[in-house]
Amino acid sequence: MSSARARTNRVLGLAPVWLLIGGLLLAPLLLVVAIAFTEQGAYGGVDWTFSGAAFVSLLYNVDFDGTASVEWSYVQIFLTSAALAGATTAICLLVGFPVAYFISRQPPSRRSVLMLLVAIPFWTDLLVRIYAWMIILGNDGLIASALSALGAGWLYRNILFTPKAILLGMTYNYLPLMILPLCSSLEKLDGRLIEAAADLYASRWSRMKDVIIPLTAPGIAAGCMLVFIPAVGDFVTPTIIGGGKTLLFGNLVALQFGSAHNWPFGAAIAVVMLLLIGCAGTLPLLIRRRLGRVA
Amino acid sequence: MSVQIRIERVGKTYFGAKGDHVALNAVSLDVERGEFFTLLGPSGCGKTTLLRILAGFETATSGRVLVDGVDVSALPPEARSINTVFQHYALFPHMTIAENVAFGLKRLRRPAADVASRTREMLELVQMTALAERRPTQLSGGQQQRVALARALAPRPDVILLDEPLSALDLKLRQAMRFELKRLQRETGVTFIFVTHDQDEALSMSDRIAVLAHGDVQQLGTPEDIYSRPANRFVAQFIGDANLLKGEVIGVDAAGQARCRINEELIVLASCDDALVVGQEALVSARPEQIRLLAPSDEGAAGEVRNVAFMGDSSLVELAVGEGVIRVQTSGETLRELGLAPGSAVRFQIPPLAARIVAGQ
Ligand SMILES: Nc1ncnc2c1ncn2[C@@H]1O[C@H](COP(=O)(O)OP(=O)(O)OP(=O)(O)O)[C@@H](O)[C@H]1O
Ligand SMILES: [Mg+2]
Repeated sequence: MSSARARTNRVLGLAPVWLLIGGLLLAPLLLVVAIAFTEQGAYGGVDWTFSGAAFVSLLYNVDFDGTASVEWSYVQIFLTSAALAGATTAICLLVGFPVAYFISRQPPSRRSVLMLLVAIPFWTDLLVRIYAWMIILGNDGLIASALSALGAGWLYRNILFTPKAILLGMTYNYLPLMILPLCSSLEKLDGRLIEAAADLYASRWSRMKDVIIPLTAPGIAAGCMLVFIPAVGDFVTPTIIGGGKTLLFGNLVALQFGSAHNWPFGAAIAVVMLLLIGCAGTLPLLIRRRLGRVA
Repeated sequence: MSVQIRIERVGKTYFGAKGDHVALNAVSLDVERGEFFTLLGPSGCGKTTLLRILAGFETATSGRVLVDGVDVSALPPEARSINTVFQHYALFPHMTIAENVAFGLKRLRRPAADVASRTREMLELVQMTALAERRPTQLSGGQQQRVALARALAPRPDVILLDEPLSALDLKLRQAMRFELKRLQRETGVTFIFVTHDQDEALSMSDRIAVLAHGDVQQLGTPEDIYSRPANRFVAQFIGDANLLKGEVIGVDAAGQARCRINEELIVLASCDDALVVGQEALVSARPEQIRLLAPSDEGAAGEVRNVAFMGDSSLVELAVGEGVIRVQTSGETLRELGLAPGSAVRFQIPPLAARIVAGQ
């Protein structure tokens, strides 16, 4: 009796949370899923009749006479996006881990200052930061003028508007999202365990591989997810420093909802990507659960 | 016996923004092979610091450490054949007990078959075979302690360092583990350097003890030496909580014996090492359990009971004697026979040679 009452109270007490999750997260998502199963309206917008056409057109090109041929370009865009986001995540991890390790070994007062410094780029708008890179990288940008001033102008290779520039921009953008969870995970790592490993003849590399990495795996997983997920959907960076020349998944979606006026197709791409990311995202969760039994 | 570890004038200063701190002055010690050696001292005296210098976690500011005649001061921990049992065990939480024990062997690249058999052997030695597949968090403190020992012993190091390994255990377990540690040390023949601030632990387990205080070795000797012949005032008070009585030498009886007057009624025959002259001041140490309480009608010095503390197997009686206080440990029987209670008058005696003159201010 009273437990049923308690349960009711619990449910009611959480009502604002449910409303927030339902209203702000679930509803738009469901709307996107719904749109994905409609037809493109004659003059843009959507025609509310059920159809799987948008999904079919992701893989097949259906001619007017009804014959279908496989369409690889979208698959390729997915792969390029995933590869760029994957590379961004890997670079962020390689660069971020030593930085986070260094920060976590500092005395607490200095540690919080350093963490704040890591987060400083977030104080300005994403667009501003990306345009700043254009100024640095461009043909008459900082690097180019510095090199030519030193008489080494021939060394300069313009990477602006190439996938390399996108990689650079995304790495810069998402690095703090890697460093911060790594820091909090490394902070909790008991230094005596590292000493114990050294005491038991573990080399520097073995201490990293056998003790530090396994014990900070949850932080590594969190950092990778926090970088990979926004990176795979990023369309601002590829548009600006990629010059819109490399079509990525994010641009593709933006294009469908924008100038292409093909909302169902845009929604379908988003849904497929969501499912793919969802699958990729459960991987670290599984790792964490396995480690969770330990900790 | 041969010297295995030679600590030569090792000093350690921690340099800090808020000033420097001298943790060790210039400690010199020899530890013999196969010995159970204890570093005993109060909190903050530099025991852990010295142990960390031996393990290689900390570099000495001055002096050096020799193992079998070789200077190891510059070697990192992983290059020293010295393993540590950490105070809070520091077992790897992501590994099973067996993996923990095998860790050192694997890093030494022993063949897999050797690793497996040695691990099994060590788990048997500490009676943990049944729990080999558990994780450290699934063990009690005492069990973790055994695993930490097995892990340190497995690679057959020359020396094992133990930093207050028993301090996290409850009293019963602590006492049981004393025998256990001693047994393991005897069976393996490995040199143990054991750190504690508990004098009972030190006295009951050690072959030799170094009493450390204020960054210096105060006395080095067998438990018997340190207990019955404290070298100075600090050792006398730290070990066994001796009474320190100020007196005057009134006669030198024979080599190593002197007669001291503490007050008009109390004259004790005390042993000493140094040459004394009649008339000089001396500090006499007398342990609470060596002083005998007598009835007021008996021959002896007079005192008045101030306080009686029951301690189970015995009682501690505080006597007001002149201006000072003398603590006497006595049996429950004596307490009842004399009918002692706060305020009652009593007499006491310090038997010949039960007291000792300690060097010191
Ligand atoms: N990293 C450090 N930086 C500065 N001072 C330190 C450091 N480590 C220890 N000390 C100081 O050096 C002195 C000796 O410390 P140490 O840890 O060796 O003492 P200990 O004898 O092991 O004490 P305890 O019985 O409490 O463990 C202490 O006064 C301590 O404050
Ligand atoms: Mg200590």
